[in-house]
Amino acid sequence: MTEENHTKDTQEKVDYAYKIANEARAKGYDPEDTVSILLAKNLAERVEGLVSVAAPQIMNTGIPQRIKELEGVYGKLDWRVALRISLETAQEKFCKFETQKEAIETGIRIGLAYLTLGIVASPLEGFVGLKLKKRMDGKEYFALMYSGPIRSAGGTAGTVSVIIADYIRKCMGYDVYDATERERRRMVAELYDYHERVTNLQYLPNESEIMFLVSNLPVQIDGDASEEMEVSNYKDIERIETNRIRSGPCLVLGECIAQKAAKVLPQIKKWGKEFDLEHWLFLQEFVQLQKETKTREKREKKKITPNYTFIQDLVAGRPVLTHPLAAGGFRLRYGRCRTSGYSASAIHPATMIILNKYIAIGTQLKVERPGKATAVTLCDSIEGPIVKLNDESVVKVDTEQKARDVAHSIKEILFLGDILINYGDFFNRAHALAPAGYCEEWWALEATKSIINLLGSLDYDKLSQLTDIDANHLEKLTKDFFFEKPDGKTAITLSKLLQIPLHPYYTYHWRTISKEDFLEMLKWFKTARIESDKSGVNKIVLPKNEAAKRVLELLGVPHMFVNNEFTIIEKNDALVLHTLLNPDKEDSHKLYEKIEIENPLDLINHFSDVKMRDKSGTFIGARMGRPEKAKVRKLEGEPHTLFPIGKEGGKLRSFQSAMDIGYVEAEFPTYYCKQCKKETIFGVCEQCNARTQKIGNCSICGSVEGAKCKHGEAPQYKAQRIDINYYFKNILKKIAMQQYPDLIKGVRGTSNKSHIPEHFAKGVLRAKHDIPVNRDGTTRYDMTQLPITHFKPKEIETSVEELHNLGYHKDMNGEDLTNPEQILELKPQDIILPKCEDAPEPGAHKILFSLSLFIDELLTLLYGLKKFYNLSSEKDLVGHLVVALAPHTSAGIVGRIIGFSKTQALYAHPMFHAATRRDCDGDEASVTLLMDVLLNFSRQFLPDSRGSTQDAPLVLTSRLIPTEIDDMVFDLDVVKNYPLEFYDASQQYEMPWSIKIERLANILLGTEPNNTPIKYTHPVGNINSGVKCSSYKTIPSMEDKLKGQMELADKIRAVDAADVARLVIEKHLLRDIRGNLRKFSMQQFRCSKCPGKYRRPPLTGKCLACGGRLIFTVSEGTITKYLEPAISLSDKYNLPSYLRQVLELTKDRVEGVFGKEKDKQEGLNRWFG
Amino acid sequence: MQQEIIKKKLEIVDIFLKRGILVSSDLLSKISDESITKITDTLESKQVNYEAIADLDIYGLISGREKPKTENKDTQQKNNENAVKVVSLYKEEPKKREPQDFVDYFNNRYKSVEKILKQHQELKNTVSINKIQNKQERENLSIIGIVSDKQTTKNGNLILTLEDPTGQKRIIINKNKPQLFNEAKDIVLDEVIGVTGVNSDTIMFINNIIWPDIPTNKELKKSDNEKYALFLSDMHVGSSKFLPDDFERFLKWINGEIGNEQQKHIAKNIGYIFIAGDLVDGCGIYPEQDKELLIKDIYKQYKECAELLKQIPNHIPLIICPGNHDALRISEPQPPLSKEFAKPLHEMNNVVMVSNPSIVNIDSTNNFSGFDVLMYHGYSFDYFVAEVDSLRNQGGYDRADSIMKFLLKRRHLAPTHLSTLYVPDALRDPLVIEKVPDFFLSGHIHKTATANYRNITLICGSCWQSKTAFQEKVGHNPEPSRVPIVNLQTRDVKILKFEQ
Repeated sequence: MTEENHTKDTQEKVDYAYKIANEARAKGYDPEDTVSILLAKNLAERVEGLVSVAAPQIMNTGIPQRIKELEGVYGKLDWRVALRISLETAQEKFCKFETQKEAIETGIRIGLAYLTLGIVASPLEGFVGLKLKKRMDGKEYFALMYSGPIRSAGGTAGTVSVIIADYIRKCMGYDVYDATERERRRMVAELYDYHERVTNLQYLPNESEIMFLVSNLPVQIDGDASEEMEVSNYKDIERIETNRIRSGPCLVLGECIAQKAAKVLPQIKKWGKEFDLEHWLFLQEFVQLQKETKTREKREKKKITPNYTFIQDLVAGRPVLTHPLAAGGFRLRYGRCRTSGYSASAIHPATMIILNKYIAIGTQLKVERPGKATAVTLCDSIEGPIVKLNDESVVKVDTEQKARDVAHSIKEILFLGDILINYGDFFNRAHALAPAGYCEEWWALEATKSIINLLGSLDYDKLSQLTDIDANHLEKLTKDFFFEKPDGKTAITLSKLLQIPLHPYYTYHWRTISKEDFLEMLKWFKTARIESDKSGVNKIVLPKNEAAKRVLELLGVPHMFVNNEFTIIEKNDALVLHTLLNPDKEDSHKLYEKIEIENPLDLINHFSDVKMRDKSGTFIGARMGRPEKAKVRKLEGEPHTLFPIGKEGGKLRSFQSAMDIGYVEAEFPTYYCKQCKKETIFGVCEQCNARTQKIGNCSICGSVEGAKCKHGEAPQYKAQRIDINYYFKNILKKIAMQQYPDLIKGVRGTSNKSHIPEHFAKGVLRAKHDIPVNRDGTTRYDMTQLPITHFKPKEIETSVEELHNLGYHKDMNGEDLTNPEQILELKPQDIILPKCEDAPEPGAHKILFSLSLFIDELLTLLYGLKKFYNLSSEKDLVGHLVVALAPHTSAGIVGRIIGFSKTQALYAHPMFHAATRRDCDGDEASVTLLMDVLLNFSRQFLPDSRGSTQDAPLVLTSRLIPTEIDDMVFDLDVVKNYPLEFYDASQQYEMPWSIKIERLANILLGTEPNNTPIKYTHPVGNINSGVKCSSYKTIPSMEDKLKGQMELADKIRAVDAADVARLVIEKHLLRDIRGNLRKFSMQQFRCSKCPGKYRRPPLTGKCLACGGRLIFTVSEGTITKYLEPAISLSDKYNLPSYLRQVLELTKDRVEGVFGKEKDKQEGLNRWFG
Repeated sequence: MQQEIIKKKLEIVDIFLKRGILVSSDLLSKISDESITKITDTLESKQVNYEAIADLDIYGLISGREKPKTENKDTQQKNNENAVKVVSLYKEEPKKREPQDFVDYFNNRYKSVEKILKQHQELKNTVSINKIQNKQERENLSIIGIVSDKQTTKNGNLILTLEDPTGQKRIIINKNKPQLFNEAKDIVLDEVIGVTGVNSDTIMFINNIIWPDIPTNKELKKSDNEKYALFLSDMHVGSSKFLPDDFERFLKWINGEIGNEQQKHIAKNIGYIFIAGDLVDGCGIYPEQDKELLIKDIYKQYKECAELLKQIPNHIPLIICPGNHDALRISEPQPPLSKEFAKPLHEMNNVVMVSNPSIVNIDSTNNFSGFDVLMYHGYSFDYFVAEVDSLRNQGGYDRADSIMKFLLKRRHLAPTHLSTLYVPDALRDPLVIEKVPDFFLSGHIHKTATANYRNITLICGSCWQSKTAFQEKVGHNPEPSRVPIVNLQTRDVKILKFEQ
């Protein structure tokens, strides 16, 4: 199948599914008679579909066509397209609106939707409306109302939305905002309050920046209160209606305009005049202002300094893996494997295991650089850890098996091993390159270059003659460098002959030790007994000397320790060290001591004829972020259907208990069956199967036809008591079920505007197949998003034949696909779902299979149609279509299942993730079967509250169009090797763009032909190796997690355990204790029986609704829980007296309220110690 | 003799019963046998205003003729001239708390304030809420309730839910009654008020709102001798912003070393010094406080504080209550400063440690009942400034006196559940202002304010700490190093300034 046929095939399948679903929905069992999710074939249609949620009148008025036209003029995704289409909508060129204000609002939404690719909910939920307010002189200006979901638009789109609004303002003749001094100061106070008390802003402008912006912005950035908390200052301002903190304006001013001004400015310069937006050139002055501040802040640019941000917000129980820039932490290795890039990084599988399995595939790491967070995958062609065992010997752990063998006898983790980060991530984040440590791929580049210099070409035979080394071995060393290692003698020979640095395998971390250490070790070597055989030195036996042995450990030299006395270095390491240090030479020690070179690496290079590069490069700080995830989404109460079962449903909200009572009291829609002459709650009569008619309920004249009567609107629902047994019995008959599941769960009440329930027949069938329902009527499976560009058939449990059927015919090298070990390039719309046996939750294969059975039964039993899926086993899911959706977005994308991995990841092409508008930094996305969305989703189920359209599939994209996805993915590098200049540039802290490395952008948008294959730099044996489920998820209690965290802190050399203890206490335990103590006397109370909640207890002392007992929401236990661990920690790590005193005082404060608990005293050191 | 006393006691009960007041056994037991005749004499004489007296006031009334026995040994006179008696001090032992404690706590509040409200003429005939259903439509009613909920309707009217131990009632205050509506806007959750109005099916229309408030006929007491009381608060010793030079100047003045003649005269006649909490800056009061501390050790902070206070002539009693920066629980009532942390202060022989809040009586003599001083550090002030528009319109943090008036009117130091941290005492609500004081002293705000409210002198102490980063941010303008002083003979208030 060609690529084109493949796309066409998908499109046909989607169209067919729509056809079936529309047939089913036409039967009347759903809120609408047609599929509720709009199909958009491209960006323009998606924009229309998304905004139609707020303004239905825009549908089919020609907006997509006009967008296409404008794109013809300005180019795709050009901001001017957004400006023009927004203005034209606001000018009511496509359709009329009730008010001009509504027209302008819709215009702004259209523009913002275009800028955000019609995917995120920001145009609906982030920009919430416009207010026309009065200037001091009485003229009107625009106040733009923003709220939290503007965040998902991203900074640039957020900023441009303001420019769009201003463009409309100017064209329609409104005046500019005249900010007062108090209004400006209010914004300063509010941004700082938001940053300090609500959540960190990615970019916090300083006071003068904020003042400048608010003075110069031609519109007011406004919003409704979002927090309970009030601003600390500048309250009661007339044109700012609330004193509470507003997240929207804080985000728009901070993360949007202030952060992106420099990015927006060039565009304004380019076409500002043409659009009469020259007044926006104030951004020039603003950027200047920012620059001045920044240069003041950091004078010295070159070199990197430790960045503590990632560690500051640590969480108790999630281990710190390395302190910033700490020797022995993750060594930066540049490159991309087939499951990394686009914010995901890879570590060695052995590293995962020796970290007590805390870090698994998909676990998020919070990192020091280049970004803030990354999702972890594995790569076994990079360096693994070096550990010291309980017997004091030091070993390199370079295979997974070795890691499992030594895992329980590790005394100290000296080096964590590499973290593989791709060039594209540095490029995208505009992070200066950090020095690379010496590694095989670099060495191979230097060796190759040198061989050509020396011999004129890569003449391995000639080189073999010169060196007496096997030619085949030589070739492999430079080409298959990840797997072919030289012996010590070869390494030295090649270094000397080719005048290249010593092979990295025998380069130790010389730069990280001090001269003192070095001399100490040298002295020690003089006392060594050196054994040789015919090929040279093969053993160094050293007498007991703890301090000197420590130096060997810090260098990462493998050695043994026997009889509690002798340190023994063997074979290659012995030979290399002996060559480098030359301990036999009489006065070497004195020579080293005298010369004024401080660094041991430079010292050796000064004297030895074998030269070395620095092995360490840059160490990157990291801590565990959130654990990986793969599980079906469950609402509170785990309902099977969105059908209200009232309080009669009891604690479990079950139909069974409601049926025991006999009725349900809740709000239901009202219908009338003309045949049976009776009212019902269903659109299809449960008795005669005829379609029924909706009726309205007027508070004065009762039931009326239609939604209006002479008294005005008549809601088409009412609070009523229904006979649940009657309905249940009839529906059961309808779906021909004699026996029904033991537990069918509904919801307590519906929260949507018209109180529309889901037909509970769906709940009966879902209960039968044990699948839960999400609040939008679908069933969702959530997973950590991970990138994958290439796979092996055997990794995804899909046979070569099946893959042929799916359109995979050639492997990545163009060879015919015949063998399950071949590596194939993934098609962008194909996905690999999790089937993890180690995880506590069932895999996607189980859930989606059950879902398919449910859908087939639903189609046959309720809708009277044919089965759609007809699967006989989970394997049959391969080839079927799903809808993927990331949180905070509202547009799904169609994907095709091609197999299952043993991890907990949604493995998909980076472009697929980009289509959901997420990078792979440890976030999650969801999938569900296509037919589930089409049959069961309805917009009308969504609650009538702000934010409800986030995470709901309002629009569906059937075809992934690479130019219409999040452009961050264009920075993914797609090469097989980084050039030699790259490694040199990294030593100079050059910016990434100073080196040209081909990126996805070059393939999709520019110079390269569109079908150029994507490549990667580092091979991976099997994507299913390593750790697949973090032990964090299986450790039951917080206390044990905390212990696990401290155990790792103690073990890892690169972690300062006392600092971790201090941070855990300061940032987590103390805040928790004090926060809960504070909350104790301000707490809410709840009823032990019903969901009743009370701001303060009623005087009767009982629940006012049901008479139940009142209970605490914050109990003494939640306050004292962490007191003991905190004190015990501070004792063990001998933390500063101030902190200890604060703990003592906190304890005193707790005991001052609750009294002392005598029996707990003796257990004080039970925790740590 | 015994018979005689019982008879006399019955007489007292009778006298009150005739006026519809039931005397508690608690009060009766407090009356010593010797004084009983005097009491009956006083009560028989027509000078007593029965409307205005509650239990403690009766006690106050008779205490003019009889010296009350003090509960605390600390309260013994340290100096013949300067009498200090602790009238009310909180010393409950901490213990496990249950939800029922909170329930009892609010019931006790209801009962205490109800008692005060019942003295209002308009609330003589209140109905309990569960009895309203027996009443006719459009009937005039009055009820007393604790405010459970407060909403504004679409039309801008106020709807409150009032609760008493029998049930809840929604009441509406129409915005077309501007004066009433304006008053009602200040109503805060969980205060206890009385209302009169017209009953309707589901709601009651309100014509009048009655706050417990301070009786208008409170006497303005004056001492016979010229003597001065001096009020300090918020020293914040240990903070890097503590103002040692200013405090030094204060010490020099009080030791007669500086000042003009009149100022020196006052210094010589200082009889009492009150300190309303936050003696030290504390440790761990807020995150990363250590960066703003000069003394990072709590013990050393109190030691330093004591060193300073020792320089005050030791014939002057120092009456000290804790604040939220001090080393003990923040939940109110806070017990007196502990001997563990504040040992150097306890070792001073002129210090009287009291709880926060507490009532201290000073300057009583054989023929003068003395002045009752209510001390409260003021932690709840933040909440009410933030929540009550009218308080902000009157000046917010610059006007502690309006906050204090606001609380006196409600006869409660922290009416709203969220307004302060408190310990739910099952036996009584210690934050109810049961006894009407002569002085109401607070601090916390770092800016002096004084006023007279119905013959109660309101005083907020200043501070000895310059503007902190936090205050800078939230826009507070502290005025450090000011000392309000009251002439007990004239009740005139003077503020001395010690800043550079």
